[in-house]
Amino acid sequence: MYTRLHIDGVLHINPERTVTHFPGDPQADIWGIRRTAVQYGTGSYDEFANHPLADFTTVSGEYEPFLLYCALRGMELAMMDLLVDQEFAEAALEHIFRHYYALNERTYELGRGRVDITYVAEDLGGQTALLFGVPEIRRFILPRQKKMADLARSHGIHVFYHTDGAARDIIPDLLDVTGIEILNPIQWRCPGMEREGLVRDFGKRVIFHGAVDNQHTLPFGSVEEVRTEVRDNIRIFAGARWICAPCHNLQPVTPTANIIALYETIHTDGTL
Amino acid sequence: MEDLKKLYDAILTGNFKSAKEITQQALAAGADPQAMVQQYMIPAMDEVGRRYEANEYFVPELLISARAMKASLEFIRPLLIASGAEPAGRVVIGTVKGDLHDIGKNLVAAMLEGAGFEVIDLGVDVSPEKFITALNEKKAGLVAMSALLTTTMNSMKTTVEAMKAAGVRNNVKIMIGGAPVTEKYAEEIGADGYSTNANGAVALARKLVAA
Ligand code: B12
Repeated sequence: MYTRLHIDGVLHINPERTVTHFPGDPQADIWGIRRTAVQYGTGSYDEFANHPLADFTTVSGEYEPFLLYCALRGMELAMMDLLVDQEFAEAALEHIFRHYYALNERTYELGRGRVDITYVAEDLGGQTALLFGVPEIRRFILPRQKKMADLARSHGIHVFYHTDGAARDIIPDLLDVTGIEILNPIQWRCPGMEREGLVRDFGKRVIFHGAVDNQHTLPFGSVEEVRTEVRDNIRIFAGARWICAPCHNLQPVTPTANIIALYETIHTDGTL
Repeated sequence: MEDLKKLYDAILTGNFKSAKEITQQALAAGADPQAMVQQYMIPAMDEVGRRYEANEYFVPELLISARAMKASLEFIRPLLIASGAEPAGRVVIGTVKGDLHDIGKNLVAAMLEGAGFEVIDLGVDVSPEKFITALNEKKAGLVAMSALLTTTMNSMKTTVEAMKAAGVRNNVKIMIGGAPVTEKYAEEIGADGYSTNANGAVALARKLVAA
């Protein structure tokens, strides 16, 4: 027919569609928009039937962009993407990151002069080693964290960093690239996270936050063991700066007496 | 079988597409499925585990290798079953009640599968009753429980107790693991073994089925 009419056809080029509709709504396109056929007698037009953002007034905060990516993509796939679908991961992370960058920027402006500390975080460590290899952390995570930290610093805000687990091998990067000032939660029973070594190697450059074990001492130790651990910390961190806190949210199995012992001991023995 | 070295490499480097292709080609050319598993796939997963323990591989590497191994196993498994070959052992695995952490559990499951075990994965938040039902149905000789939280560790204990009450405790070996779990805890609750990582889990499972 094109030849008969002497015109060229239009070739559409699109990526292969692996997602065809909005999760949970087969009627909606990938943006959550449904369409309805509006008849005009001899035919019909597809018109928008809803406006997903119509009722939105705000977007809320999130401080671990990669964790959000894991939630969107599924944890295992997200982790594999770092090795085998790098462009996809990079593009998605960039979107997530930009969104929160803009959000933080506005928050800092609104809170001008009233925000002291900001939370920059991503869990990089498991119980015995880093969760991801250093090259992947350097490529996908650190550059964006650095921008987030720079933004905070440019508003005079201190950067508090959280990563679970055995993260020793990435701490130099966190200091040099991201530029963190406070490191949480110091799971000192994890290999490489021994307090003495951290004080020796990084004690001049970072403030430690946490370090009261929440996997053994606080939930299962005796009151005396909790006291001893707090005193150990006071001694070990003496040459550095330490903010006393549990290594994560206290879990409901933690005896109340242990929690009281933690805060009492730091109060009575933690003189400056 | 010169070409099957490529299967080893595909699993080691986590290339599931080529693992699948090589497997299909090899099987079409009459390769012995049992030998493929024993001589190439298990050694590849052993090496993956070794690298993980040596901090040369991390979770993403383990995941892609496991995916490649599974892609290959999908073609091999039916043949093994048809040939009546017995697995190295049957393991019922799950993350215990209340706990949703599953990356570690999945890696342990994959490594066990890679080592020739038949793995029945019950997923996360698995109740004692579910463990017991699966044990009875599948006639498994091993139970593997994972817990990452101090709050859910106790579910391991209640599961062991429920197994005793149901009279199935003595038919099986029990292994446990996960971040807060210790050797001492394993002893306390009457489990048969504990390991800190997926590679160790395989060694432990081999030991337990041999015992
Ligand atoms: C990733 C992660 C999550 C993810 C889990 C996603 C998923 N699909 O699994 C998310 C973000 C959802 C999460 C949620 C929570 N988490 Co979490 N999480 C982690 C983190 C950072 C890493 C765990 C991990 O995947 N490691 C990588 C894998 C490969 O290692 P692994 O699981 O240890 O498994 C290896 C070994 O343990 C062993 N193994 C494991 N299972 C088995 C079984 C057998 C039989 C054997 C032999 C061996 C074995 O082999 C595995 C491979 O080598 C840890 C930090 C840490 N220190 O471990 C915290 C951690 C486990 N979480 C913690 C907490 C508190 C939580 C929450 C309660 C947070 C909250 N809301 O307050 C929730 C609980 C959700 C729930 N109901 O389960 C705490 C637990 C503290 C405690 N006192 O118990 C930890 C230790 C962090 C900390 N700083 O203290 N978490």
